[in-house]
Amino acid sequence: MLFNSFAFAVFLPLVFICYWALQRRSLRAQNVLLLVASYFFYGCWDWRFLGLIAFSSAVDYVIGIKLDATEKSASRKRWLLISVAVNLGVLGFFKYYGFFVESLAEGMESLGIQANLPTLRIILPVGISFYTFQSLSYTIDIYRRQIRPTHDALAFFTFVSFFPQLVAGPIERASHLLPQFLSPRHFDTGLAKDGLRQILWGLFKKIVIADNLAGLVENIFVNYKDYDASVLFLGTLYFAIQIYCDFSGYSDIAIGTARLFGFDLMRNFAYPYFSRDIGEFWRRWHISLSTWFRDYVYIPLGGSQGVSRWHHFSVLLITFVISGFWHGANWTFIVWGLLNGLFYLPLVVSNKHKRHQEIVAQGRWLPSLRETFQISMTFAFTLMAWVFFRADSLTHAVDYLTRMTTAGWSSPQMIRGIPYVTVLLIAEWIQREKPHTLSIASAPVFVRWTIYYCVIGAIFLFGKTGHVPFIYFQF
Amino acid sequence: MHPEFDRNMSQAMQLLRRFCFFVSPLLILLSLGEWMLWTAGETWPVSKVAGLQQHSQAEILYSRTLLSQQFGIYKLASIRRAEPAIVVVGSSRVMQFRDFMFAPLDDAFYNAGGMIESASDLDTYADLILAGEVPKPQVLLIGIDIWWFKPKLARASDSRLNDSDDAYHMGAHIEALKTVSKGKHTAELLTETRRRWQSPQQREWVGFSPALNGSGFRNDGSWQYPAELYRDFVRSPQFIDRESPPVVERIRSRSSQFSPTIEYDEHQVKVFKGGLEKLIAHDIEVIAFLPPFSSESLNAIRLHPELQRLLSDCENRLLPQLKRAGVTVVPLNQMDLSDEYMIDGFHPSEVYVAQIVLEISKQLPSDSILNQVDSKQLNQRISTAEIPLAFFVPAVQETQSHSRPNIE
Repeated sequence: MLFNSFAFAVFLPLVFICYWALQRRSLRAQNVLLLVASYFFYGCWDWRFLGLIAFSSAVDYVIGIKLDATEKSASRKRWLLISVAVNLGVLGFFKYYGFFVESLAEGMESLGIQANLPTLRIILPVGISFYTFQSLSYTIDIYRRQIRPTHDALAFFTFVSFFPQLVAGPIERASHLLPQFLSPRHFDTGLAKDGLRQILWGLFKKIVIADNLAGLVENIFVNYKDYDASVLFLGTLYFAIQIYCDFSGYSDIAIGTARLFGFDLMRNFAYPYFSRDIGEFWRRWHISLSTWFRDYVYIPLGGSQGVSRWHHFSVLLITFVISGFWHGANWTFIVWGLLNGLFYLPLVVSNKHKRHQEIVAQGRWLPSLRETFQISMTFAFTLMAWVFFRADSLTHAVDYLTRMTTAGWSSPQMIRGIPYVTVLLIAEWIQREKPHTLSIASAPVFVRWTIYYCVIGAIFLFGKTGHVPFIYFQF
Repeated sequence: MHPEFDRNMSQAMQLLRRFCFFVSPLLILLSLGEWMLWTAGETWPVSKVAGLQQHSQAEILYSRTLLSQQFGIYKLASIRRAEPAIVVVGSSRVMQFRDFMFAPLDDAFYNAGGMIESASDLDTYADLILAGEVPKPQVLLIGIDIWWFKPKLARASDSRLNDSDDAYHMGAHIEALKTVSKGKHTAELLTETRRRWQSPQQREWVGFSPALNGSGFRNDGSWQYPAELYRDFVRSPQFIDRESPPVVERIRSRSSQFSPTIEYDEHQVKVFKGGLEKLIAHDIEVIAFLPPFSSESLNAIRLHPELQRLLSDCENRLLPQLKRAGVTVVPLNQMDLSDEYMIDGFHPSEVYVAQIVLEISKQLPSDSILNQVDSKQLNQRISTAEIPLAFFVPAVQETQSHSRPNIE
């Protein structure tokens, strides 16, 4: 079931009414409803993979209790290893088996060895990378004694499968989300209204901007040999905006939906394209994943404390490469991760990677010239990296970039995506100090309602009706 | 009971009520638009339309304008209802075959023109018959288009006959409402709604196309062009390529049906032949022909080496192969009718098509049920046709505008 579908428009109010009506009965009844609704929501894609979520949840639930029950270090380590092995094993099999087999076969062939390795046609379960990481962080946090395990299996299963963020995040930490399943929820009208606003903006970004740019991006990337540099540049720009609107649109809908049920999910995007360096970009882009990799990969590998500079740099690059690989079983994602790491490295070397914590031009209408230059350079770096993310293969990406830098510029073509880009950037710039772009609770009611009707009108008139799936579902 | 739980519930319901109040003007507008579309018959499911046409004594024209036309599934739905013994299939180029041309078997006839537009469509149709999902005809007349055998046409799994009805697709409704809200056909839709409101029982057409310009599918599946087209011919009796863009321009610019890659693809031939063989093995008599082009279009094809080769491969390789497979192949290149009998560069008029029926009747096997067709009566009708384009020139409806939808 897609957020941008008629089915979800029926599903959400039904679950909402039943959920708050059930609060009179018990917290448990509400959690049962959420679990059933979440499994139904996921089962609408492919019911066969419901077993996989249940299995992953069951393993981590049991291991969480076992970890807490023993004080022996070796035993605790063993239980953690089992959890990591099971979760990454499932993820590796469904997502990376084909990639490893193909890469191995190609590598052996390049050495002159004819390899007949077993290949399987494996379907990638939707959202597996997201719920696996969420579930895994639970056992790791228990192992680190940062949280206590829950003995409420229902709450834990619901935490892993909570439908608003099940298939594409934000990847929540048990320390933040799980306690919310264990205590009664409060309905806060202000927060719920803000949730509805965030849903509306998320739908706008997805249906109007991302889906309209998707066709242009597809055309330009597939037929890149037919276009000159200006069109290829536009193709990259459109993709940068498309993927941002697609993914942050999903996150907005997820966070807004969770608020309707009294849950608080973490912020996942904070106007990343206004970042002044790559360090700031990664603090503002897919925040839940960046912090996951920081806490569960970067720091365990040594991080920056008490290690040599070279160790620190290599850990940093490894983290970025793994983060790229998380997105998909293709060398293009690995290079995308590596490039981002390489862009980030000079900042770490010069110890400037943490200098921009606040949003740019706070309290001012426009950025300074210096800030404009910094934003443009950062955006240019991310654009270059996005080419690898979008391309089908490394050859495709390199050819595309070569053509983009060598082919001439001619009269404008494919410019019909520019209004979408402009609308987004202007709206986000104006609202960049707010938690989300449609945070307009303080505006007079007639202004608010006018804006809502305009956004709905834009979705109706300019939105794509084909129910285009979200890009991040495939990761 | 915890008082906070009641407060939560009441606040949640209050928000829901407020939300309903907020969206109610939008829902009212959408409902109004939906009601108007329904009133015009634009959003009727094709099975409902097929049922209405099947049971109606009077002619009821049908065609959509705002929703996708979906000729294929509409024709399939009609065949399922009518269970005809004689079926004409092909693209829009066979849509002028009419029931009275097959008298006294006119009740057994259905024109499924527009249902088969590729080799894979035919194969899918054959599979549906074999699976018992579509009634089996006794005779199948098939008008073959040369572009079905170009390599880049849809492969076997891509047949549009497997599509579901857009009437059940939310997205299609929204697209239709979007078109109306942008001002396109809005005035005509309002006029049509008012007309239906005033006389709800009287329904001469379903869908927006007949209301716009009087064109649509008749009960027998044949296509009625706008009356204005015939009246134009009466005013100025000469051939004009009325297709938009004209067929000859498409040929010269190698666009639309004539776009590259133009070559005779054996894979498409195999799929097509396979479909026909399934039908023949199922005791269905198959009669095939290549519908005519206007002389202007034919000359343009002949001037283009690749198109000429494709046409020649269809005539000299495909048709003999079909003959060997048991298909009755009717060559039409000897008919030599003037272009005045053509609606445009590749759509023959109903009078032309009546002559094709006569030509077919001359080449039938002795056991064909089509031998019962009254050729004498048909000859008489041809000789009394008012103009080369039509037996009768229909009157222009008052509500019709002058726009004309593309029926390809």
